[in-house]
Amino acid sequence: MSRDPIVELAGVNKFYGENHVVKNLDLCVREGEFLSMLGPSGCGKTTTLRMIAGFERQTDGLITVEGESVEEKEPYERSVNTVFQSYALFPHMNVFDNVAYGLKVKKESKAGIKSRVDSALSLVRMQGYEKRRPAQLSGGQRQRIAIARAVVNNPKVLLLDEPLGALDMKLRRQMQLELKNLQKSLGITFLYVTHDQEEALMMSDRIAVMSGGVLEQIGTPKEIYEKPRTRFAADFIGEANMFEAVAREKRSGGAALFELESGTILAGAPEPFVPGEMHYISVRPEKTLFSSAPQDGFTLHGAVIEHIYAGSGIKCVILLPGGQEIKINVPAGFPAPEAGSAVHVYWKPGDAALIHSDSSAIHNTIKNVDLGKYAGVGHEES
Amino acid sequence: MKRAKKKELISLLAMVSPVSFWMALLIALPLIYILGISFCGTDEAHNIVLSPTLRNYARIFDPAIAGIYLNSLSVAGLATIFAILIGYPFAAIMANAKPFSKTLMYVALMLPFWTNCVIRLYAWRTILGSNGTLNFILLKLGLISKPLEIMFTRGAVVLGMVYTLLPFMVMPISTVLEKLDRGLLEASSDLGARPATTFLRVTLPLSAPGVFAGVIMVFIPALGFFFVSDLMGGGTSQLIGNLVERQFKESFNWPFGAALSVLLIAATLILVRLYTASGGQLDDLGAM
Ligand SMILES: Nc1ncnc2c1ncn2[C@@H]1O[C@H](COP(=O)(O)OP(=O)(O)O)[C@@H](O)[C@H]1O
Ligand SMILES: [Mg+2]
Repeated sequence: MSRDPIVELAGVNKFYGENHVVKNLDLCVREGEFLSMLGPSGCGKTTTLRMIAGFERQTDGLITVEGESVEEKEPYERSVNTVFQSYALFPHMNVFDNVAYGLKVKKESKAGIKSRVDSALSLVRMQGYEKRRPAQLSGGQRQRIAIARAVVNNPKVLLLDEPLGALDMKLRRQMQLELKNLQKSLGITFLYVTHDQEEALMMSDRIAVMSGGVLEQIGTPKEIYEKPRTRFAADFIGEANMFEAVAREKRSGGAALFELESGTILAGAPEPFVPGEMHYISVRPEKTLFSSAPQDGFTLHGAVIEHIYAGSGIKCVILLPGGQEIKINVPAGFPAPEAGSAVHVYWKPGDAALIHSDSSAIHNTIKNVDLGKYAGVGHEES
Repeated sequence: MKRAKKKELISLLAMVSPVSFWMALLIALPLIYILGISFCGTDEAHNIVLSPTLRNYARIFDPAIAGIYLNSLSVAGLATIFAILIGYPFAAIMANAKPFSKTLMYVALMLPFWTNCVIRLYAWRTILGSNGTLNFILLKLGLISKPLEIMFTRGAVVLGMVYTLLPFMVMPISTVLEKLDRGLLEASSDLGARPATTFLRVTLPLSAPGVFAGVIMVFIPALGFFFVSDLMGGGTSQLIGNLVERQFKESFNWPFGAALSVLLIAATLILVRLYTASGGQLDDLGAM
């Protein structure tokens, strides 16, 4: 798999009137990868895709596809194709004509069109539906046709805007796998928009986490999940126990002791280590452990207030004296703390993700926005 | 006593279903009457006589009558074509305009309805007549040496029809274009279609029901609007409407007039049927 950049955004900003919806976005999509843009509704994902496809013009910044600026190119001149959130299938054409549309417009030969449409339809397992109108298809089938209509053009990059958003959960899970396999076998670059973190984790080679128009973090699903760099990333992807902690002293093995309101904990030592500096520390519920005896470095002790059977495991909530609740997920078959009992909470220092402090996020925002230019506009959604 | 009871029954009916009651009374009964007498004959004193006959319908093949039919069809056809050519771009601009300009265009389209149609057609005579404003200006500019004969021609009748009926073409088209999913236009562009291709392959086919609705609402009245032919054509161009009018007001041959009307209604119904069969919504026809 080649790793050259194929789509690049550099310093892209988008304003709708006073509303700053994409903020100094730098993003590099590499050839052949499956890159997801993940973020809550309204964070500017669709707007970003629409700027790449050419339906919106960025207020400033540069967008290049295959190293060439697309500034002057209309959507019909760009070598990307889009799978729309609402599918946007042509209601007055049957399935065949929908899929053949891009080829017909490019005046391909009849025989060529026929064979390419056939293979696109077989790719999405929709042969035999050529004569149907979109209105005669189920949601999942329309979805497949929308994908076939885009991939039949052999785009360099496929932009997908929450393509599975309208499907029910079961179909969605199935389509996720199919899409992923399709992407692998075709080798087309996918820029995939979703607000479903589980979907992004399952399907992507890399994930770009967005919030309020700002790119919070970009990395492999493993990096994003295990080493979230911002509070937002830690909170939005999966569940997290979040602690506001002050660095106290270094310990052996790269760990350090931190002090919370309700006790002390261990986590990986920040570089450089500055005693007294504030950090956010995030620990996943499945990495959070409990014991009846106190553990070295940890003084978190609380009452189990919830003990919920959740099929694949047991979800517990422990209330600390300071009022903070800590979630612990115990896989099925392992002992879980009983409701009402008191337990000590701890984890392996390496399982705690260090987020420097909110000042880093603020610092990021200041760096990203030219305040002189947009003084008084700073509107953030999160 | 008996009357009071009848009244009660009527008001009861009116309450149960006021709309269908008045529909029946005001529309269905006259129609049934028209349909009935279209199969009747007349005596020398122009009285309707009950002797079932198809003669009234057969008269349509009379060369004189057939000539009027053909003339009327061609006037209505031309008016419809021009109404599409002018109305479609107007509707497209209106559908894509900002709310304020849209309202302005809508008002411009509807304002003429505040004045009687006949009076507005007279205005055309003062503009286009041989001593009218247009000829005056052209003569003064030296572009022509003698007045153009515009009024009292078939062209003038077509112009009058287009002028009178244009809103009925614009409204259904702009309604359809406004409802058109812009995402489809983006999808077309995304797939490599230039704007002209997108128009031909997506916008036009999807707005066809609106055009069809407009055609029905322009073509059918254009067959019947005898006053337009009177005022703009001055009797040079006879329409089916003139023929029908004459049967009722001059020749007193009501059964023949009724037969002509029945044929017009039948043509309308067939067109509406074709319209709904092609996926058109009856609501869009009634939207006016
Ligand atoms: N055409 C538009 N005009 C004005 N504001 C818009 C427009 N499109 C999107 N927005 C605003 O931009 C923000 C980002 O929208 P969007 O990119 O659609 O978010 P997402 O796809 O992440 O849910 C939202 O606050 C939305 O209200
Ligand atoms: Mg969106």
